[in-house]
Amino acid sequence: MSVITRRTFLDGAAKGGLALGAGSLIAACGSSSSSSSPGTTASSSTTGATGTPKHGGTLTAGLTGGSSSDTLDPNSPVNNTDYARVANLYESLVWLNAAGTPVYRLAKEMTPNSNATEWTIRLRDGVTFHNGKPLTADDLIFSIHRVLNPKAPGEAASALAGIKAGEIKKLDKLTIRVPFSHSYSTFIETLAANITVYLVPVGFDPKMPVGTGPFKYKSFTPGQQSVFDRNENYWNSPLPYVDSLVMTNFEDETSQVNALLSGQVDVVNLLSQDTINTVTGSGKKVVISPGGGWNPFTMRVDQAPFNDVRVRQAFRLLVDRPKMNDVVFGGHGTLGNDVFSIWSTEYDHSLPQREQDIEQAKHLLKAAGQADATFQLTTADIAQGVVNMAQVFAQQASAAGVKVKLNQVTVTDFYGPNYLKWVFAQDYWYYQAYLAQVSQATLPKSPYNETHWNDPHYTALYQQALAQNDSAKRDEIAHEMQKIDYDQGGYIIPFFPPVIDGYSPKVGGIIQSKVGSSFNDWNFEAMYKMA
Amino acid sequence: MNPRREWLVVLGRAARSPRGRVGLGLTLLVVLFVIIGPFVEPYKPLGLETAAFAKPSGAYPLGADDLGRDVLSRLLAGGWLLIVLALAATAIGVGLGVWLGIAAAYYGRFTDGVIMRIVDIFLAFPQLVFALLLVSVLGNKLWLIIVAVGISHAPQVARVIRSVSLDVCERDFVKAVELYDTPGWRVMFSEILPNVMTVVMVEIGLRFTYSILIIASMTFLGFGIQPPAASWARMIEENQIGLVVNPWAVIAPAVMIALLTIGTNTFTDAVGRASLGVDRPVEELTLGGGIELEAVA
Amino acid sequence: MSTSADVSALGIRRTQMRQAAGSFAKRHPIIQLVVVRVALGVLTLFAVSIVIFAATQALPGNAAYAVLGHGATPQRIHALELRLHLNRSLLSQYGSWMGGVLKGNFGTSLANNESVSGLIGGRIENSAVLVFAAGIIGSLLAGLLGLAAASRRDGWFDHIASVIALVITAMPEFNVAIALVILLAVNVAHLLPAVSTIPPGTHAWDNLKLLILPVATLAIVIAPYIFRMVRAAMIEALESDYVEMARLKGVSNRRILLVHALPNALPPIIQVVGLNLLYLAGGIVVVEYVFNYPGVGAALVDAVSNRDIPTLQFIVLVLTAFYVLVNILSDVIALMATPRRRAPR
Repeated sequence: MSVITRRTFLDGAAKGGLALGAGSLIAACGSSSSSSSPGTTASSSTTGATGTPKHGGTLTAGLTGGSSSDTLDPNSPVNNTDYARVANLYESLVWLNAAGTPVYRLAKEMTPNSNATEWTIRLRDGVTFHNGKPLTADDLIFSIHRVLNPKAPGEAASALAGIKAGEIKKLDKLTIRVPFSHSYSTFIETLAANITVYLVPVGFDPKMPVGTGPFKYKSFTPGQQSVFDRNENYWNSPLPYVDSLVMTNFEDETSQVNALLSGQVDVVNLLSQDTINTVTGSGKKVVISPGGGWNPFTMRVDQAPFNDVRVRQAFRLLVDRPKMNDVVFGGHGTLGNDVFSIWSTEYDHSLPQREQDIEQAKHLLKAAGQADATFQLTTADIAQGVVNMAQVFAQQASAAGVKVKLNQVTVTDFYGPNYLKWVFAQDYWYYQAYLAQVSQATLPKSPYNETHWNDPHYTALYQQALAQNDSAKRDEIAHEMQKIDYDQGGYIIPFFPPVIDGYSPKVGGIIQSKVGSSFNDWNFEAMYKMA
Repeated sequence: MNPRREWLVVLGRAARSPRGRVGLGLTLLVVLFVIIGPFVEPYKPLGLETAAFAKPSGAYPLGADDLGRDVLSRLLAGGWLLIVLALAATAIGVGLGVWLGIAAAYYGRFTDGVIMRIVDIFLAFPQLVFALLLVSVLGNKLWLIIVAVGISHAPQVARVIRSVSLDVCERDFVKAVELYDTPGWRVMFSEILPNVMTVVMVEIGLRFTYSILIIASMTFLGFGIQPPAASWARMIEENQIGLVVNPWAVIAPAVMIALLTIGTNTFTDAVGRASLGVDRPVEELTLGGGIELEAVA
Repeated sequence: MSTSADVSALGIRRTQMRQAAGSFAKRHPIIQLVVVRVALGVLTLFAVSIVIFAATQALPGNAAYAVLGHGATPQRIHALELRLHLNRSLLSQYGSWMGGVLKGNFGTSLANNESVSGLIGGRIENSAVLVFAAGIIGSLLAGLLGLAAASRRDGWFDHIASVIALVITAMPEFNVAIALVILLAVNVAHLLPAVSTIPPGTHAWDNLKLLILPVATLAIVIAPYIFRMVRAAMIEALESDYVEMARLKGVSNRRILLVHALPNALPPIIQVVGLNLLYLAGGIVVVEYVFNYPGVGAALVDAVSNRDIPTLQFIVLVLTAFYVLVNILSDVIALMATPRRRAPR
């Protein structure tokens, strides 16, 4: 029964060149991934530490984004700074390592039954919360219920949606059995990407943010700053290295970079390509990760003009992908093919690379009766590079004689009542495996189905995959689904943007990562200060 | 001297003063640049020509911006929108302010009270804050920026104009016209307005300068003129990130804005001085109005 | 620099003073003035609170959308709207907020469920430090330069200072801020911190080094206005018969400047300083943004984008109260500083 998950892990390990063992996971990905990450050539992206890690000191991180609605509630992080904070206070059962492969964290083992309608989860032994209480099966059950609470559903509620919450069974002090209303062979991958199923003690109160993570809560001012202390009893010693972790919000990149240059912070995240030279030219360093996150253009397939597949394909053909990648991310991104989850074992690399074809695009638009139409693209500064991508798209379209007008709105308006309803807009996602991503984005019941994709054949294929415990057969089904995405889908994915983080040469333990969020998913516990 | 033509005389005097010449010269230079600009730009202002923040070279005299667009072409194309927006905002602000100010002074009593209390409420918001609030409430549209900045000027203009008009209202010729049952709007616009025209000129100059600065500040904060339009204010905001790599992408538009506002501000200063006939800053012209008022009333 | 530094307001205020001091209490014009103005101020605050509340209702979306952002699924929106009581009628929302304010409770932030005054208090303190430090330093600097320029009118110093003042008044303040960062923090010299992130829980004045650049920016921005007024008012005073008389009596130049001319020039100078303090209340928005300074400017933009109405109300009311207060104070001080022969007849 446990073959499937092991096999998934081994697959990932083989591709990423990782040595995985449940006991030494974090150390393993820390040491291996700098050599395993392909795709970056910039010499400035040399990563990792010279010398051996040492304990002590304060690590100060200048993080982009955040507002007075910042939260330490593990269930509802919204912006970058929220994710960074909760990822260091709390831990989940599984997470993605730097190669984008799911690995156990607080879980010791997770095994499905034969048709994956029931999962048995055993927790790692000897883990304690910051308040000294040991982690038990009761805490896990409490945490799952907390995410699913209908009065305040958590960000990851949809990832757990199939769980029959009332029927979860505690088998022993560290083990539970979770029944699902349907097959869920991709439970581990989905859980690893939807990291906010964090484990908290029974009776958790967000005003006393207690987790098992590498750092303990000390102080927090929403919209400004948090101070966390080293968790002396962390189960994965010798991590973390620094005694204190300070995270400060920054409203814009210029002041963020200025803080790095003037030595006020040690690390900064999510830079644009424009600041790479500024940072490296001033004696600081950058790490450029080939992230598997993606910034798609989203076309609603149920609304004119994009309900006509010819218009969608025409728009995909209008994009000069290498040029857009060059202009917006200095060529550091990885070219995309309108199919998400590029680092997934399920990703089909055999689909021909889509290239700009203005003739064909115009021909398709004409056939669809849209040759002279003006299209409106709604954009907002929701993630690094997104507005610039929109500008380049509009420019490339207009060079081809297709009129695209930009409608830039504020971030708040973008996520306002029109969110998930824009006809032609943009979005951003972190990396997840293909089928896990499908459950979030391209099923009629997906919580974030921004393209309003509803293809019965596609959905049926997905359900087949969920019942399929053999990962090779799952990959086959996934490839069939990707062919549909490629030929008809509502996403334009020109490339997978790089994640560019800056740091002081006095900081060690920084690695490249494929997960699409900064610092290998906020892995501050692996960083250390050099003398 | 016919008081109705006084403001023309003042303008002429201002234009001949050394300060006025410098101010007018700078302003005309920038306006000329803006008018000729779109006809001589070497590249399309939106065209993705070269590497992001390419340094100045023969082909690209001011280098490239954050998307590899030619800075010189964007500079040549990027002035008119800012100037048109600022002019429109000035027209709304001064127009509304003058109307409110004269009406308050002319009708007095209840009308005056109501207008000035409303003005007080609006004045209690800092101008930039007011414009930001309005734009975030109603959305980021060009016409709304014009209206927001214009409305934020109006209370300030109204106060100034009211104070100088109060004095004019008391003069004999206004009283005389009233005897003929002339309608109020006619007294206001053909009798009072010409007599406060000098102050209106100064207000136009001041408010135009402030309009440019407020719109530029809003754009800097992410409101205001939207991409991909080439506009000086936007150029500063989008290229600030590459300041170290190609500073000209920021310095060039900043210098253009500065030349324009220094020009208009200097000329306004000259008008103020010419109208007072002495060496005093424009600020005091309006202050003078207040003091004079007390002597009369 | 955009500005509300509008000296024009003076004329009106003087008439108000006169009206206020009209029939009643001619012997206590100042008390009369204060009473009337405070009453008007409270009315203004009330009106502003209604305007703001009405305006926020026109905003698309609400706090639930804003708080959930990227994760705003319809289920989560609905649940959060219920928890935040956003489903109640407008009147009852305003009523319960107003009821709280009358009891000194400014409500709970919709963004993070903490008390608004606790959340914003520290930021108000930070901004106040910025405004007053810049106001005092800028005024003193401008005052000294203005005295120097006026005392040698049309000398080389007067000309250079006047031209520089004219140029700076035409500069957007973010230009000044960025120039200072380039020169003193990041590119040319590395003397000062480029960002001024006051750590929460500490006071702004505990972090003097962090205050230098933002205060310098604001001081540079307001100084030209005050300089011009000091210079003009001093020149006028120096031309008066009174000073002429003193000069004929052989009084020393310094004494003429400081003892005879300055007191006469004070009232308009005080008014201009007051107006520039008011300007700073708006001008800090840009400066706080550039320096990542945790003040009310950032909190205001934040509250708007979070649709956090109680927080927005609180900030706007504080700004308005500041406006009313500075206006009253500068008028009262100016009135008290007015020498008898210049007092309203």
